[in-house]
Amino acid sequence: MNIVICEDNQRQRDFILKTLQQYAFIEYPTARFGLTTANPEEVLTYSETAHVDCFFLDIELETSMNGLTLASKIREHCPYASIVFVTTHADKLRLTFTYKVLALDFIVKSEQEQTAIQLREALDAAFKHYQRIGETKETPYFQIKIGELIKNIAYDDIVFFKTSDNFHKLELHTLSGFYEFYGKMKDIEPLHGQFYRCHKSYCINRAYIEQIDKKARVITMKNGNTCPISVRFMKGLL
Amino acid sequence: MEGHIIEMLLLGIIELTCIIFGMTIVWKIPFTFKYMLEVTFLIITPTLIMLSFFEQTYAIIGMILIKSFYFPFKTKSFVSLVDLYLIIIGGIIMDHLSQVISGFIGVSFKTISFVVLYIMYCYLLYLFRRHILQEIKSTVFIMLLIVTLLTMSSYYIFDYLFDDVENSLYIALTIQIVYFICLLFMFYIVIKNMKKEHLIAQKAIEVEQFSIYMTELEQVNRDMHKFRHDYNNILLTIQGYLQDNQIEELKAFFQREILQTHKYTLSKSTIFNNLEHIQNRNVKGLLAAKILQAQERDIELTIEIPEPLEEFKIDSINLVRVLGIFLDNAIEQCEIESNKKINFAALDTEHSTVFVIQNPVSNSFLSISDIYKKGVSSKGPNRGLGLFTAKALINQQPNCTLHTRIEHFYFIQELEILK
Repeated sequence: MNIVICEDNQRQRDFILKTLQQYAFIEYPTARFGLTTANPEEVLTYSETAHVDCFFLDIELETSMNGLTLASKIREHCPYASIVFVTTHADKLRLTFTYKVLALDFIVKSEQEQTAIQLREALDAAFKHYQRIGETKETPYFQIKIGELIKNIAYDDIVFFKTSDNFHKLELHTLSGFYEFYGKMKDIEPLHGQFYRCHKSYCINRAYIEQIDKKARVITMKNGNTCPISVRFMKGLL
Repeated sequence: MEGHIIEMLLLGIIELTCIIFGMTIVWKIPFTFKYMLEVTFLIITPTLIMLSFFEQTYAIIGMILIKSFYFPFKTKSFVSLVDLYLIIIGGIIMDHLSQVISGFIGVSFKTISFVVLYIMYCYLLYLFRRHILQEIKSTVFIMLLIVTLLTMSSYYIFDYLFDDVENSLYIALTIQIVYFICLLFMFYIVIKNMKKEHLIAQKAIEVEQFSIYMTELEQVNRDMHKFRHDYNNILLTIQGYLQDNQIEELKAFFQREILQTHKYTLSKSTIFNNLEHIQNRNVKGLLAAKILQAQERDIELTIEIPEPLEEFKIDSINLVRVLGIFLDNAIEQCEIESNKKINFAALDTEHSTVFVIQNPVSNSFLSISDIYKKGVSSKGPNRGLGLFTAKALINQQPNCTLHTRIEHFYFIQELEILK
């Protein structure tokens, strides 16, 4: 895992580097710190040539480029890298950073001890993210775009799909939420062997079936939702 | 006599099928086995029995009555009555029109031309209803109902009166078409009026929301003014402490006077600066009102609007209603949370505008898929109307998607509006 740090304050930069290095030395020996700099331009040229997995960026850089612009430029050629922001202001555009450049974490500088803990946690999260990218081939997922934020939902987490009442929208239900997107039901079933089209407007994940009521022709899912079954699709379920 | 009755029954079946078919198209009734059974036994059979035993006029009246009961029941909406009468009216006109047309191009084309004309009519009606007459007020509805009912009855009466007169077809058709045009004209006026009323209502809300925004802005201005006024005093006090080297006292003073008192003023003015990025006055006003409301309840509401937003391609009243419901719910939820915090963001991207609302939830209160259902709420019965309304409003918009989830003890809603 290759890590880049960009922070314009010399003391802060040394502190971040030291904290992360000490932690990575024990936990993640494969991690290396490819670049530590105050200059965002340097970060850009570096990330164009080398493969970077994780960035720690200061938001308030005292140069022509602030953290947000830097991050969106980084995103152009490193779409999958983790970006962690370090800032002195609490709640400065937290959502903006999350949604615009998919910030992985957001660290508000406070007392050194507190900041160090947060830095370590961020590194943990970044490493997990890094590992997950390696595994994506094995765990297929469904992608939903929310503005510029891309939400990957593993097929295993999907409870069912349902057509929305109007305008070619589909709903995707998971245990913790639901999402809407534009699409066609007939493209959903072939995605994965687990999915079964039990009704004109429903496609369920078999793994989440709680019980099937043959008489009333409804399936109760593990999240408490019920889905209707059409007569002609009943056979495939039993 | 036997042959006459059979012919009449056959015609009756065709007429019924046409009308039922029309209603199925216009109301998008799913064509299920149950529906077919209902139609056969509740409408077709009784009508045929009436046709065989009573005079045609009574049978027709009976048939219309049965349908007038069945369809509102089936569609769960009285508005379907207007459609039913419009379909019958259309059927009569198209029938006469096809007779005239077949007079020119040959009798054998009568059925085909009728079917083509009738399907076209039903489809136009469907489009018309879907795009224009979606929500109508009860007064307007009653007016439309009376007019369509009268028109339909008059058509039947004309048909009946002119049955024996020479050239009756042309007379009836002319009168009916004129009548129909009048009807269309009336619809046009009603719709225009409705739009006007809607516009006036929209303007009223706009003015109201904007005045809230202005009052808030004035308050911020006054606070800033006061701050500026205090600023000199603060500097002087600090100077005093420094001269006497009273560092501890200075710290205490700084904590007490500056951080506590002015943190709020400053953060509020930053929040209001953010609102400048919204052109839409309604949304601006709504957010101003909600900032005020949150602040009264000691809830920290952060608002992020980093870039100017383009005008939204959505009815702004609906947008304000939806965002209002979301924010109200967030505020209500915060009242029972220890972490009183709401994050709001409006972000412009290349293809869309995304609104994000986050508030903490410590209790995993409900099955998340259920929260948009009518009457479901974490706050007890009869409270779940808000989200249900919001979802219905969003479903009406072709370019809106809504995402809802709970993540890391935050309830997150994202509303995306395509450009």
